[in-house]
Amino acid sequence: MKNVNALLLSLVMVVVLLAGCGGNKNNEQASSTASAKSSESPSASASASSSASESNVYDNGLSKDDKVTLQMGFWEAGGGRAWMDLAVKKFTEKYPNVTFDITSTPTLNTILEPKIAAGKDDDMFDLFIPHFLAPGQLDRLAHAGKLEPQDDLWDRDLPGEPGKKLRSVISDDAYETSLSVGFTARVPVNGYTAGLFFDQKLFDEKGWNKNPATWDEFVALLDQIKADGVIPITFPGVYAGYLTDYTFNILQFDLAKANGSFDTYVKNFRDFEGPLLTTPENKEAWNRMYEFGKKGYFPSGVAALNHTQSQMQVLQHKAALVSTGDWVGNEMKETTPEGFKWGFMAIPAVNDPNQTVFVNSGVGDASFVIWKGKPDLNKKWAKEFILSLYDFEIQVSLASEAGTYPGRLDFGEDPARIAKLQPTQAAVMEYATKHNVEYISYRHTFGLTSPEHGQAEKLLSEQITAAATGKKDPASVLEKAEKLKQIAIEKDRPKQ
Amino acid sequence: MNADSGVSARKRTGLAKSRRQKTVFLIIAIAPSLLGYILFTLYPNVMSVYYSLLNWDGLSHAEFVGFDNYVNMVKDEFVWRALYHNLLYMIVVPALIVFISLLLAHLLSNKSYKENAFYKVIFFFTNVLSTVVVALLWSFIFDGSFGLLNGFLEIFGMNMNDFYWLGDTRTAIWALVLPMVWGGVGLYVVIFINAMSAIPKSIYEAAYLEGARPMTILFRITIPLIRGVIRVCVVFVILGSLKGFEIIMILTNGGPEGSTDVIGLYMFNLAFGKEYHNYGYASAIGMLLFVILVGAKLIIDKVYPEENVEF
Repeated sequence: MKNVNALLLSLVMVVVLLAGCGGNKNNEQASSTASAKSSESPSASASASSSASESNVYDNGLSKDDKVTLQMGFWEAGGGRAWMDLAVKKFTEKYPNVTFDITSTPTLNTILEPKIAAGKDDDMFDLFIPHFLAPGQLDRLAHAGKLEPQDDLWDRDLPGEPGKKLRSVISDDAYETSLSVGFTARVPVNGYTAGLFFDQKLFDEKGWNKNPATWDEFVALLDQIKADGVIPITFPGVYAGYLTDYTFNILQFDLAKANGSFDTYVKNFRDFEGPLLTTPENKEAWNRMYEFGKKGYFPSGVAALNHTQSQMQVLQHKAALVSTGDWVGNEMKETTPEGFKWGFMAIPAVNDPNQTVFVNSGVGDASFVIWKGKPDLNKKWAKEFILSLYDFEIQVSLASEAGTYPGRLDFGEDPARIAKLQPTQAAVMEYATKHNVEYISYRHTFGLTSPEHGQAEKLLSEQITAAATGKKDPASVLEKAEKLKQIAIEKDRPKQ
Repeated sequence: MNADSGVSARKRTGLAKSRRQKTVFLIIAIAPSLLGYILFTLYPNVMSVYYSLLNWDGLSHAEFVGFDNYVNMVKDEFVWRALYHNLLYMIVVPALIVFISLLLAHLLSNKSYKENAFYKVIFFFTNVLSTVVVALLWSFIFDGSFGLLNGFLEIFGMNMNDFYWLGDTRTAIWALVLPMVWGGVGLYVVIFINAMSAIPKSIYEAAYLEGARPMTILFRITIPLIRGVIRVCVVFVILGSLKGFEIIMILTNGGPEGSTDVIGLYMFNLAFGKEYHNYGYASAIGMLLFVILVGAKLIIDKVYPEENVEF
């Protein structure tokens, strides 16, 4: 009897252990969610009833009788969630049969990665903001067939604006970026822009040029700033890509545009055709960064600066310009001194005052993807919700509350809406009105994963601070990184 | 004769029953831990061996590449550079941690300072802080413009002129030693104090009567008698300095120009970094790290054999 008891006890212990390991499907939500949930139905419980009568159908063709709860993974970034609360409130008022179960957290990536790795569609969100630790994860999900295409949304009318299609209010670059994975994995609800941000008040006080229109004017500005005892440009050397991604890597496109080879250049860049790093345009861009480094235009200890420290240098007027994204205004608003007024500029690469100035931009962090393995009805309602985010009221909330760049091109047609923009976004828009600006992203038609790509990126990443402190000519590093990149491109290019 | 055989048969049955009970008890005691170990340690580690043979980003279709990742690893200059930095840290950090911990523990054990209890709390305090807090504290200390270190040096007339200790390839690697040692000493001070308190007072009294000086007592009595504990601590600190990278990641992320990159950080960035995502290659480096850790343990065992001291 004792043996039986002992065996039973050991069995119970093992079962308890396994239960402890596996039985936490819903706990993570409980721990990190702010729920806007109704009690009617579980997530995937789209109780489809295809026999809904005509009167019980919305304008969008979906039934009023089918109760749907959409599970949403919301990345609560620095911009907060006020805009999302407004969006959900408006949507559920209009479509009362739809409710939301929202997991809202600043660390959404820590929830997404295990959910995706677990590979269970039932456990996955219906729609979520693809916030991942690693770059390229969104592309990988798309290529793995895990995301629902949203291409049909482009031809849909915007909410409350019959006849006005979504595509008509999205910039070409944002549209092409959305299609970069071969289909529309997410439509750009908002965007971001990046470049050089500064304090307009300081520039006014010092008499510095806030709108250099040519390369010579820009260099003259930096000379003047340095002569006045201020660091011309700062950036977070710990994450040195802030300098290249947001500022100097853009120069290659400016130069290509100026010499008339832009279309070919961009196509080769996107498709990994020909040299990637050792093009004359890219070498010139890196060389200019190196020349700036030799002139002492960057802080001497820049490699030790994190992004908060570098941005603080501008707030404290130790540096004049910081290479970062338009989120800087929202990110630093608690420490921004009174009277500080954000300004923006990009680098004019040539001496033609009418040149095209490219500004780095991308799809913003308020754009949702839809999980393909979810019930059709959930996916349809998820698309309806995403479309509803283009309502001007939501776009204004995104701009004013979350401090992001609006996704709609026609946002700026109404001065009242422009007045709602946060200072950094307003500064970018103001710059765009004074210069011939085009927005551009660094997307490619396929991703690189081979180890050689990692080694090339590491070489480049380490070269940034070396060049920016004038210690090392980038030419040989670009050659070396190019060789590694080409090996990776050869290995990773999709087989026809 | 019959009675004897009956007794021995009963004995045998009793013995067999006792053995069975012992076996059942052992199973009950070991099974849950063993299962946990298999599920959460052994299985992932064995899978890492398999992953190291793949070109795989963790999501898309995994491509079997045989030993390509290992070949790449051997050719990868960043691996060797990172290992060199590890070697430097492996020599300097454990030596400093163990030496400082021993010294502080000896002082707190043998000197009757009024604030002894307070000092113990203070020294252990760094272990209560998370690594992130320790790293951020030191980022303020090393800051070129407003840092405590430059301010402190200025008191002595040394104007560092906005020198960023973590921003220069000549100083960054050594500057990182300070937070590592500062964050690591506390735990070992407590361990050494406990080990020292187990040494009978009579041994010290006899030594004092013989005219031994404090340093003689430390090196001739205390250290030899806690040799076993020191050995374990040395193993922990050396292995920890080989695989640890959190402080480095926060303070320099391996920079400037890779001058503080270590193998753990390189592996992490290969798997989860900003620019790159390859579980396969990162797993291959994980395997290398595993071999190095086992090798380091074997070398320590050889150089510093286990000796039991009785007193």
